Amino acid sequence: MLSRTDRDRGTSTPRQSSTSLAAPFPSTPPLPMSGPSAAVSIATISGSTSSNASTPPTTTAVSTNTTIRFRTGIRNTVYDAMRDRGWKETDGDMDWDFFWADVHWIHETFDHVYLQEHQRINHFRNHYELTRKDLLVKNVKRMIKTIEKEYGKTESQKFDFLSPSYVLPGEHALFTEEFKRNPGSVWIMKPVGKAQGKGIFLINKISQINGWRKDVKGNVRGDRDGEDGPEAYIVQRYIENPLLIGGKKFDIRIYVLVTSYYPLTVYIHRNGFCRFSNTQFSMQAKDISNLYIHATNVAIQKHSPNYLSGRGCKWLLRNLKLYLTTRHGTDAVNELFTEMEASVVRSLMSVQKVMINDKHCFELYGYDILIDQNLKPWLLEVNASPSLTAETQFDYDLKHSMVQDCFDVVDLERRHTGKPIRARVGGFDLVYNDGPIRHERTSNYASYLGCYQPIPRAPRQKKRFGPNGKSTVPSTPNRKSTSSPVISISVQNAAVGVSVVPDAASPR
Amino acid sequence: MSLVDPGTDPGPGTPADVRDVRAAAKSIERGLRGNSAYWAFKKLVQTEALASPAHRDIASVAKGIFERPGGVGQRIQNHVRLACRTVSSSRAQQHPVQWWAPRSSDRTVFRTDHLVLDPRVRKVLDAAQKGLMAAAKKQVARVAVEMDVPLARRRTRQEEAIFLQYAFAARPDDPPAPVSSNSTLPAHGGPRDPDRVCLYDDQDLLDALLGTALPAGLGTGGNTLPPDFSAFWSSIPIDLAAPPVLLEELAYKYAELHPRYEQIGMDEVGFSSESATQAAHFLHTRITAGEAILSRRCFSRASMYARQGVPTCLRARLWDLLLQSELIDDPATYTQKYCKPLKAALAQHELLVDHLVQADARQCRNDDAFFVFEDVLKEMMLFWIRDEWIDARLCPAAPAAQATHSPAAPQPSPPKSASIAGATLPPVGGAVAEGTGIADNNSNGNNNGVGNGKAGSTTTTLPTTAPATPRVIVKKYPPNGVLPFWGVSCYAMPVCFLHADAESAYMTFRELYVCCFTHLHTLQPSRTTPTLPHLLAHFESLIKQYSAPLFHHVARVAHAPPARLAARWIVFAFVGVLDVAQVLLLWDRVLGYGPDGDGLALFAVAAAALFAFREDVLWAARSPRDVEAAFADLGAIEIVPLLQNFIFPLVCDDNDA
Repeated sequence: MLSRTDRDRGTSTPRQSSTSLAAPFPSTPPLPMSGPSAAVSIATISGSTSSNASTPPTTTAVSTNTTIRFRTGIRNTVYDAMRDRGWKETDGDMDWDFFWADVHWIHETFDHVYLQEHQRINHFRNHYELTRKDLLVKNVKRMIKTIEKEYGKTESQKFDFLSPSYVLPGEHALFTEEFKRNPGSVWIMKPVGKAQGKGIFLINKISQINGWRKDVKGNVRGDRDGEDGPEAYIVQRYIENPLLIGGKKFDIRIYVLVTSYYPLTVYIHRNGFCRFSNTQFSMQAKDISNLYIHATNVAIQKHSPNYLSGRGCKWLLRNLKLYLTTRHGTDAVNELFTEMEASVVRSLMSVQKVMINDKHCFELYGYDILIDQNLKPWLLEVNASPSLTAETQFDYDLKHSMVQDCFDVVDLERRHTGKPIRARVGGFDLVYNDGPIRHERTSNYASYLGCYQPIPRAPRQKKRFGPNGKSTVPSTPNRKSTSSPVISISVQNAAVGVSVVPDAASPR
Repeated sequence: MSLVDPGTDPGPGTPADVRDVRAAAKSIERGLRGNSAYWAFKKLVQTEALASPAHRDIASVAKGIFERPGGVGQRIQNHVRLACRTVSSSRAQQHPVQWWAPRSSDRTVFRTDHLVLDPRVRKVLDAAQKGLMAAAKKQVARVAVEMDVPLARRRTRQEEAIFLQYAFAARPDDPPAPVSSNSTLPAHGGPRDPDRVCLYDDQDLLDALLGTALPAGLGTGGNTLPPDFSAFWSSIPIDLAAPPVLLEELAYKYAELHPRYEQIGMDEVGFSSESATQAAHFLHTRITAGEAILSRRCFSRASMYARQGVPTCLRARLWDLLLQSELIDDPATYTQKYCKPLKAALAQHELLVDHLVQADARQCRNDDAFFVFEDVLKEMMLFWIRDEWIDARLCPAAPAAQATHSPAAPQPSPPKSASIAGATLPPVGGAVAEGTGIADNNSNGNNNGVGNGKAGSTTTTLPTTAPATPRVIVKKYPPNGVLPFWGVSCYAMPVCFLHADAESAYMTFRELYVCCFTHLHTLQPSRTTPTLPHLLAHFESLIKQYSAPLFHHVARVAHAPPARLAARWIVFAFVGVLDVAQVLLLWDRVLGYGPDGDGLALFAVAAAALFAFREDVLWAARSPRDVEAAFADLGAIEIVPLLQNFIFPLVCDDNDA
């Protein structure tokens, strides 16, 4: 398993290696890959100075019989990563070894094609069981019921990682009842099938969604999505006490790689990051419609008057870990990160039964997690096509190395076929393989999530950053939204709609 | 009953000094009487003593309570030690013996013999500092004209209300980020942004230092080398480190960094399954030990502890123990009480320097770890610029006996609102208050060598509006007496990781600033504490000892004077150079070894260690750009093993064999 870390060691100076041995007892094992190295023992420089930074990590190591031919419709870090591995692009319809497909292709074409033995694709057939907000709620609710029946209440409570949610219009009556039980509570409305914060708004009166429902009915006819019927919404109890840092709200994006649902095999990447809102958090009624306060989606924050263009507001998990440890202690933070990891696995267990397993498929999910002031993680949603478009060089390096790690796990080059499954590949740690990976971590179990994982400079510098690599479309509507203190939903929709197309859905 | 018993004072205890120490203790006790916490403690001891069953021997009971571990006695002892530390430079002249120095061993006292300078060299450096400050003062006036902002302005009621409402949050009408997307923290160097508004920056600082020249005729004697040779062999024109600190000496000085001791910063992380358990065990014992020290409030043990690193979860409290020089009975209320008048002063007056420090704080947007704390930083820096406490610490008004009084005062003296009230300086037009508004500092009558001009403050003469009493109040401008240099907020950035709110972070920051960071951008030499010229000379001498050919290669072949590079790292205390976790680990050691002595010198050692670490790449460098590239990305460096490798090379090689 020649991987990135080994490669880095190759570049290290002789003094470096002596440094690792300078470590006092416990003697540092020479293989940094072999365990929970939150830090590589040697001070590595993943610098642009090392001459081999431009060589892709794996292609040089083993010569494959044929180059991998890939097909994709998108031009972002994924495309660059595939090129950097020495793969060749092909535009044949089915003439490929690997297809980084968008979800539309999966919905429309996947059922009608036959995949050859070696062909791989980056989505599961019915991934929406996990990634559509209403189905996720449905699946988790069902799981809770099953577990409660079989193992009792204490076990089922562990699956309580979604805040109370109802699907509208179906569960409107149930919701109204719940709302009346909690007067003054705030709820968040999300369209079930949309990403990047589109169509999201907050309510604190039931009348607000009565009005909205009429709106939607009026809009249904003009709905050009062509999807099934009127757009369903999910209404979710708003987490009113999110953990704030520097007075600002944030959520966490974690990359989760599922290579198989049967047996369930889950990898989680260490370099998750926090995404911040750019405005001080407030639960005041006057601010309730201000999404710049309440939503942390980059797609929304981009239009915030306080947005730091070219910065992207991404804070690595290891910074969060450092910050929280100073305030809450090591144990509490370990518990939090382990709990986040567990929530991810439990959400996947909830959909395992309904998911159609397919050995051609793997999937890279973007999990959105919110932490409240009691350090409890809440699962917000799961994205099937997390944005892999970079906004800054840092962002680019981060995503590029993550995608490379992902391809190392998926192993199209077949370097690891027939070998035992690897516990760590780059930044990806195996956390579940037909059962929790507890490898010798049973006592003082601590998640590797947010452990130190170097971000090597990507082999190429991005010249321009923006959605899909094109120059950012200057969106006029957002100027309107800055001028009015209350941002109406329609403006918000327009603002987001103009400039951002979900990665996977972008035209070729 | 006197709370300060001379016996409890740390001191060398030689008979000749006893009287001196007693006198000092008496004067300190007198100073403490102005402190509310002192009386609170006194009352506490009193009530506890009275409540105790043993009525007969009240004195010994009281003594027992007083000397209880972690009790009042310990607190006062810590306070005295820390409060004296910051005024040490001025006291050194009166008291040749450093009676406040830790008793544990001589090694812990920074060897000050190489700080002794030829008075002529001292004069040259003093002049350099003065020149820099004069330029900065001119820049204040220039900026005032350019930005069309008066030096100080009373806010109207309405503005005040708006200010308080918005507090320190970013406002939509804030000027856009002054930085382009590819710029970074100042420690990275690179070309200067022409649009930047600042008084002076690290390059000015370095230029002032490198531009110093000894008057003719001084070239051959004493501290100086032959001019040709010195120019060839060192970028610092004056030879400062008279007896240089030897490379071998470091191993003795920083013995606790030895690989044989377990270190936070490398050993709390396991690399395999067994070592993970071991590491967890180590971390656990370390935390337990740290908690014990915290509960006993033992300063000297805490500093020994910090030398091997502080576990992240204890850092905020342990640093406070090592830094907090005020005698405080309840930190939370003290912090609140202290910051309230500062906030009020902020709301009342708008100063020109406010804009400067805010722009400076906005730099954190350039960093992927610190951008989160922009609002917190702004608040901290605004507190800092208003805090007269800083001024009192950096240039104590009355040097000798009263020196301990002023820092002991519990209440901050916020800018007296009565005195500035309505005293708006003439709105800046063509004739800025050049002669009158910004008076020269020399007239201040401050004969204290260190205080004078070091802080670079300008004194402002503000006429009060009250016509009945036309008196002139001389106040410093800015109130904290420090003309901010570009990047000063870098020092505050890592502190944000320790505290949830700006107020408590500020309390840590101000202590750090006066005892440590202020020396990093001061050219003027001090008798007890190394300042920038010394640190750079220390760095150069270490590199030359490590590998003279390497030094020659970098300086002469690649044409990149190593001191120029290292200056950026040292001036900014490695913020923006290393990952924030590593910066905190380094600062742990700096605090442990004394932030005004050996600890401060550790910055120079760390810089030298970085050079040694990149030796191979540096040998291949042919141009300044290559050298820059060698240090372009130090984000993955782990500072503790790096220091170990540099300080204890033999051990490492032995293990290798």
